[in-house]
Amino acid sequence: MFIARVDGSITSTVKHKSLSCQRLLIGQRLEANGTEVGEPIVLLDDLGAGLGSHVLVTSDGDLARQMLADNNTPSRMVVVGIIDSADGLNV
Amino acid sequence: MRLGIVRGKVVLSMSDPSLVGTRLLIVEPVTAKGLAANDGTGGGKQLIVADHLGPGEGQMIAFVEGREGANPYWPGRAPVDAYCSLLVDGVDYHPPGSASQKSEDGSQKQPPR
Repeated sequence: MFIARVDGSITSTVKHKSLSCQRLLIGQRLEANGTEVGEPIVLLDDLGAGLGSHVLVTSDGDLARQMLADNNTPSRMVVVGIIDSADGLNV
Repeated sequence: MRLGIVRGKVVLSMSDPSLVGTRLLIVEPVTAKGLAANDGTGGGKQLIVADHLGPGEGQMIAFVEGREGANPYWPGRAPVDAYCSLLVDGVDYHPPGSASQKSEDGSQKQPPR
């Protein structure tokens, strides 16, 4: 799991059928001190994280398969929590 | 999933039987800088992505990497570690520090289309 900041969202019409009606956020992975790591990632979100909020993301594809109830889903990054505070992080 | 821009395709003469019917795209991942510029530049290191959706050249997609890339082939097996999950229609991207995130009075401004 890692920390990410929500930087936006995407819309999509043509996609794998398991992803219909899902909120798709753009996240930026962060170090605990706030340094950005890597490229923007697309997150599945059931919790309703807003723009600019910090979230806990799991890269466990098993959770995505359960959440979408589809063993064929090509997705793995799922928001599992919205962060209130973290040591070193300016939330 | 990461975002990427389609730059071309790969055609195989011989392939693993599980890849028959799969399109192979050359994809350039989009970096934060490329996404903020929103001018079709990617900036990442190109990779090959398996695909069943059919995006055109220059179109933005999101692709999943790792074992989950082979999920769509389940219960069959395929030697795939990157798969095109969706075609991106619109991007709403407001990283901190960008002019469009907050105006001075703190109200949300609409990004330019």
